[in-house]
Amino acid sequence: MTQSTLRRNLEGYLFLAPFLVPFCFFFVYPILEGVYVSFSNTNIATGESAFVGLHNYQALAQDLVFWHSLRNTMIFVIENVPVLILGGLLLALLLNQHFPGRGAVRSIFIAPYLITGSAIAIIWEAVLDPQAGLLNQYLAMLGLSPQAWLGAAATAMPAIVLVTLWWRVGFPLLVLLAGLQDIPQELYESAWLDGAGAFETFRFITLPRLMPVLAFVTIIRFIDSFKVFAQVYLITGGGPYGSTRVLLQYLYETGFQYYKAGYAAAIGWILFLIIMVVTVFQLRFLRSND
Amino acid sequence: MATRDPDFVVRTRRRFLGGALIAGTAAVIQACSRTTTVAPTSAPAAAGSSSAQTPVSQRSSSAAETQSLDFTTFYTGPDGANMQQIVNKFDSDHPNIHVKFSSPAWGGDYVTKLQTAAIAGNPPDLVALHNYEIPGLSRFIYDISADVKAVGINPSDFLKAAWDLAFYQGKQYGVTMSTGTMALIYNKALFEKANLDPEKPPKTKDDFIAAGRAITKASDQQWGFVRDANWMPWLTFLWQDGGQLLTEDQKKAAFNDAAGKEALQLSANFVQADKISPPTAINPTDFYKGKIGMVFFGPWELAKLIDTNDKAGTKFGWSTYPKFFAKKSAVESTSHIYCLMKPKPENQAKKEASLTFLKWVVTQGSSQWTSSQIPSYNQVRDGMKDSKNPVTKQMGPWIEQAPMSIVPPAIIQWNQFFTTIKEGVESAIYKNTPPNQALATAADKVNGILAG
Repeated sequence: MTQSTLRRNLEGYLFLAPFLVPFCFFFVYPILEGVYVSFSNTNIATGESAFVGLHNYQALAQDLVFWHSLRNTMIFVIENVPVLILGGLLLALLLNQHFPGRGAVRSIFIAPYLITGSAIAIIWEAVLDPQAGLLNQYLAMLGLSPQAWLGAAATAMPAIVLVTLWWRVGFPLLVLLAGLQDIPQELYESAWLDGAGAFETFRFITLPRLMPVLAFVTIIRFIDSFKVFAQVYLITGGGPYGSTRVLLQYLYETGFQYYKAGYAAAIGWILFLIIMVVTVFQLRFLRSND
Repeated sequence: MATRDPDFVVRTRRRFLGGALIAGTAAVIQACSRTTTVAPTSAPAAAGSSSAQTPVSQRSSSAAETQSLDFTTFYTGPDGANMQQIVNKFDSDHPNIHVKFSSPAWGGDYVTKLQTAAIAGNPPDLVALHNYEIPGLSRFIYDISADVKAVGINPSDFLKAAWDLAFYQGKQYGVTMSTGTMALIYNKALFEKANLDPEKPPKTKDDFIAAGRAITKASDQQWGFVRDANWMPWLTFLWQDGGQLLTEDQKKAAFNDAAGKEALQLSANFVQADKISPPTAINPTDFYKGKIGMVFFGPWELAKLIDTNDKAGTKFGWSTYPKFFAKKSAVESTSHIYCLMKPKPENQAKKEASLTFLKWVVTQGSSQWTSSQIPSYNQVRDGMKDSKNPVTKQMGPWIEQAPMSIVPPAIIQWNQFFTTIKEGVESAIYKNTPPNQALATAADKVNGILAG
């Protein structure tokens, strides 16, 4: 770029500055700093920070807690994404029907999405309490024995998935509902005239028309699920005995409770790479099926 | 309608942009500048904390002005209300110092908040810490070895074991306000229903297990004993059996010995053999729901227990920790150490005000703290037995146990260490991992952590 071009475009850059300067300060710089920190032994307790090359990444490869946390994260993603998408789709299909009080019912289903993680934790700890919890009381009414939902490794993660479904289903519901309302009614009318039933219209009209929205929601939910933290940290704390500790919690513990910021940054970059690879793979898969 | 001269528009726009840029730059510079204009000072005569040693440019305000101090703690519930009253008393007695008391979090999140605030250069002026939290924050805390002498805080006026908890690597990072051991809390109503004498809580391991068995009705989710995952009874068992967590030089795990294994076997037996505890973790605060016979709580729960008895008609009782092993009189304890954090830039006037509050709160202020913990200030602790405070009057078991109190080691890796041993202990209790195997695995991990 010549000096005269730069001068000519100066105004443009100045107009961009109110966005560009904070963007560089608060996004670009921290990202670059994060890359450096992941190659250092930065410790927030001692204040030391020396370049250690790939040491953090090599150590991660042998860190059993890291692999265990990654495994728990993958289990959560695999259990949570389909449940959320199917739950959201089912609710969207139901709430797309005409019935009295539809607006209020829609609001009720979407409302939990607006609640903070800490409030969700309080609500669900009460629901899942082994001694006085609502869920166990319902089980007792059915003659079933009470369960320590959050206290047993076998049920803790499914319980977190259930909490997440209740909390986060509002997003897929909202987006899929908008997608459903975008499908021209004439298509359905024409299909009905041709004798198509409910399943055929869903299979050959709704689903194909909804596919771009479904793809978007799936990718967003994948990314969101990999970043699971609040509900796990606040409800189980990663327990019992580490069975629900997810990668982001291990990152938090490593960085802020064990003070190893360099090691935590390396975990963060691994998580970023995993999310990026999965997202790229999903996008390619969806485009190839377009 | 008048038309605009294009050159005028361009000139005006450039002038506007130039002006905005200059104004923005000035605002940024102003915001980034931390040096403030200094009023003439007349710092309090606290020897050893000479304001003359501090560059004038670093003093942000006059000592003669009212100093506002942020005092941040992890006190919630009755402890928080109690400390607020203590702070209010200080405020009314000291018109030149205003203390803002807050309790934003507990546990690891609390330390995280302090750490991030300190890195940003804006930590609270005073904080309450446990002894094992000091190493991770030590670079952000003042070494007040010289200051405590200067303001007249005399080490001989404090319980030595408690006083020593404020030291880390030879430096004094605070003054210990109080300690508080765990004690046995039991439900007298469940004792009565199980034909146990409610006025004779268990004092030995065998009595404890027998009482637990008599109370437990697993089918009804009623349990004889529920353990607190964050206050592992295993620690007390280990210490009572003569074991240690670390070697003397604090470089290796020492809990993987006969005492550690015996202590863990006892913990596991509560679930697996004696069946007095639930097979999965339960929150010990469920004790208040009335279906748990025994738990171990610290003195911070006493006010709530008394209040619940008074208002809800429950019959909760408290007693000394049973003697599970005879080798040593030991009970796990908490430690509350008040420290001064370093702001950026350091502010001498605030530091002096903080020292004034520190001295007052650990001596005079601690007289009201007796309803929450056992103060380390001798004069106040010795007078507790004659106290008319309804909660302090019930502190007998905790006063009796004060000399037995043992706290976790102050090492920088404590959080990771604790997470590791906690998972090892829980795998033995809930996953039937043999205690020797669980401890060997934990010891290997801990040795790796300590080696860095």
